Amino acid sequence: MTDFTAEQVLQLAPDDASVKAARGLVRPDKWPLLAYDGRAVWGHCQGSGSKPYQCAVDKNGPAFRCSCPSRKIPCKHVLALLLMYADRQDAFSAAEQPDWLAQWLDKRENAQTAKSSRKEVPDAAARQKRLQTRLNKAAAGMADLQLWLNDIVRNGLLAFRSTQYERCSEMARRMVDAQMPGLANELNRLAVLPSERQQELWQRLAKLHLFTQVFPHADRLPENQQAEIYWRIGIPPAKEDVLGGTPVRDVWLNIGCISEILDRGESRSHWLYGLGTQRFAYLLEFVFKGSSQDGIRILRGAAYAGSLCFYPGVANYRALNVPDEWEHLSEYPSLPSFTQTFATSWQLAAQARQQNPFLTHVPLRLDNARLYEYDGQTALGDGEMLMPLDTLNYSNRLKLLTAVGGEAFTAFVLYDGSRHSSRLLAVIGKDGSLNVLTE
Amino acid sequence: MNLQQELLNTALLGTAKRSPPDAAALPESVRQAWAALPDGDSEDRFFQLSVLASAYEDGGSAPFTAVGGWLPVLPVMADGTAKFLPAAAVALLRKWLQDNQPEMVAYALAQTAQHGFSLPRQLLSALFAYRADKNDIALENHFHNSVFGAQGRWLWQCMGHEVPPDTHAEPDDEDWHLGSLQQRLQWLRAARRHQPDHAREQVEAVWKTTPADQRANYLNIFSCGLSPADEAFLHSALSDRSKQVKDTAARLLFRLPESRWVSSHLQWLGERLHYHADTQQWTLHDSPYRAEMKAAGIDEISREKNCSDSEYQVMQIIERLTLGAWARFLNSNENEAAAVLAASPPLPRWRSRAALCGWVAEKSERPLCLAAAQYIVRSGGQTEAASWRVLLHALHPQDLNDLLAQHRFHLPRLCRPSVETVWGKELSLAVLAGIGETVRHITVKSDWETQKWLAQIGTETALHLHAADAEVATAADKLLQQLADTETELPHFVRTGCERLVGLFRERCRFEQALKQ
Repeated sequence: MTDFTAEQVLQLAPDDASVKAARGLVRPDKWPLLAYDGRAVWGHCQGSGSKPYQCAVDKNGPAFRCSCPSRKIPCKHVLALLLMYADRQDAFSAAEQPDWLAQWLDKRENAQTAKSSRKEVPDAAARQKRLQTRLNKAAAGMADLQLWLNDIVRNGLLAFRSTQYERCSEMARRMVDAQMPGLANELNRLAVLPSERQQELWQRLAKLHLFTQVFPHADRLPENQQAEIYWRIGIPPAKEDVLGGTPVRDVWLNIGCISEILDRGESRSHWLYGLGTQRFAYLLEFVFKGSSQDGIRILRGAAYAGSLCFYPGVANYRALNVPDEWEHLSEYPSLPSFTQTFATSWQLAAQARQQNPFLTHVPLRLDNARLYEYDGQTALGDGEMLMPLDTLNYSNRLKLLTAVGGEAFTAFVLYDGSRHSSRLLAVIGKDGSLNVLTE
Repeated sequence: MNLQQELLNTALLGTAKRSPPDAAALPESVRQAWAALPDGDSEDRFFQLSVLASAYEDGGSAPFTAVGGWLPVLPVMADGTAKFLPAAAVALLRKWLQDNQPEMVAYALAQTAQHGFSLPRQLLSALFAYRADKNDIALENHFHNSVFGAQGRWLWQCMGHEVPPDTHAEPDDEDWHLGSLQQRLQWLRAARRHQPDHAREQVEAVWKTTPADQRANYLNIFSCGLSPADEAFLHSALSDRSKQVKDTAARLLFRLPESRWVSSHLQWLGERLHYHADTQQWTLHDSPYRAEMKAAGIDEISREKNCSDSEYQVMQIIERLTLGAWARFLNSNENEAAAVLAASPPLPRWRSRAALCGWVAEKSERPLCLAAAQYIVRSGGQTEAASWRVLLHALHPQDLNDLLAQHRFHLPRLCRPSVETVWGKELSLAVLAGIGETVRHITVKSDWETQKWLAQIGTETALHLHAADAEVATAADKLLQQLADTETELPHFVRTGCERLVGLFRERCRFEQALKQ
């Protein structure tokens, strides 16, 4: 890790209450000790007790430690420490690590070493056997799904609508049993799809049916198409295999995060844009309630230098970052001025959609865009064509207008083919800075 | 009907009730692709056709529409003359926004306007977000064109808000003729500043067709730019149907000492009350009650047990008169009249010091309050603490500051003037000393009112203390030191209240320094 800015520190906070509490502690008189070295930042925070709390941040991580009883990670003391370090570095002095800190860092290092030494060479035969067992289960599930879909279309969506939630939820459970979580998630989404979106419901059911048609012949498809089918139904390749692929090295900008609420937590797609390769990618993160947030830690709008390995598939954007080659850039790269027309941008997206009929979300970079308005709706236009956008909330609209000031700008948009809607992810403002517009 | 709609209709009713579209009606490429697919049961075939039709439509469509009807958001007009708030002040204002300090934000905006600065772009965004987040409509009183600058006006309008009024510009008559009630009131306020006669003529023109509450609203604004030229109109408003309008007109007429209205009151008073300058005594005389007095709202019969009818009539007249009218009555100027009234109140009921404090504070006329306070301080200052506090509270901070400079007396504990203006050095020092004194004696067992007051003084006091004087800054630091040295157990919120006071005061000093650089 490099040094975080105050804004980035706030993104690490588990909730707003922690931010508020931390702000109250950003006062040097509350901190009898503030110190740092090349590896860590630490301090003593005077709480309500007689002994101050010992707080530390391991820059290689980042990882946080505090002796306070809070269960939040990072707690308000650690957030305050980082905020102070971001804004008032002069209040910190270079020092040697105290014992409690050295012990904690050693423990972390030992755990890391033990983890990497535990990595076993995967047994290919056993893995193949496990995959085959899973595919057999999936085949039975697919047949079940096909019957279910045919039954719906035979009796009509009007009849289905009154029991949509129960039937989709029930089928989702059966897909979980068949070890196809990808299809189960899609069915859970369909369960709560509003009834007025019947065209979309129909198209998504038809796509599900397409899986039942393609899956039995998947073993005869080219390897990338096979992988695409398998991971979409919920049988992704092993991480080691993905990381064994060809890494794509670049400076990656985080252009927004799309969250989706799941049964027991949420999934976060961190969208990235490679400055050199001009390639889009996303890192998928699952955050479950009660679990520690030791995940990807991609900060909104931050820039990273590093390598990504893309999942095998067709026109795929999902990737994994190579942990050892992933560095948060404290100095933001200067962004080039892009000059692609809307038509060219769409051509690239359309190509991807042609190659992959299952592709729903396609990212686009729209250059020389200007804002247009009509009847309370906002659109991006380049003088010849317009792309209407999903409604922006007050704060995002404010951020957008502040960033662009009515001038031409570059926008990153996520087009959702199933809803024919476009969501604005980020814009490069007139001062050349990236402004992320997702929460 | 297009293909997608046809397919949807079949899907809605079900393949058992409705057949899919005829193959002949399908686009050529879809028909060929569908024919090439392996046969299955009718439901499978229908799903296949739907997927192909979607792919066909998607393949040829883009998520774009034609420009027609849509309007571009025009760029901000460049404002080369704008002078932006200095960086140090921006940082402080941003902090107050983050810390949710609405009073400090309002103060900063007022200072920004006063010094002719505009807010930079990023801060405008934070300010608008704050206003929306906290739903702080009151903050909009400080949203002026000068503070916004060209960028802010553009952003404010783009966010769908009404453009803030330009308080310095001459009003446009169109706003009066075509605007909403709020816009008319804004116009009237501005017009009374720039062209009071024109403003009055416009109100007169619509007077008869305006509802009573609006008429009262309009009249209230006449206090700005009030002059003898308004007398005839205000006099006519005395016979209005609405009591609210009548009272407002009468109140305004009392502020015109040469008016007919004041003259008649002085005439009635002169018939009943005489001042003997040599002995500094007042004498009351009986005089017949007149019909005109009744028309002016003066009651004939006393409502108080221990007050005669004639004294009651005099009291009603006295309570209405302004200091300007008293000056005319006593053939002197306002300050002399105030001195006479303070040293020798016209009715016996106000002749005790406690009663004098109450009467003067209620009149809340600046020279009279000052004269009464000077009189009490000069003559030894013995008066009941509560009444003294009421009088000091009513004193203008500048007068209180001058009084403190001349006479060096201790402010009673918890005493601050109520007028919202920056205090002078003496007053600031006295208030800080008063707080220090209170803190010295306070414990967790002290009365709740005192504790609560100390807990809440932070922002309000920090905004009024004299920021340009090193002595005041030192006194504030001493207060902080006193808190640190206090060994007795202080209530937690008293400590945080005082710490907040000093913290915010220091920040305010830095803000004002930044504005001067």
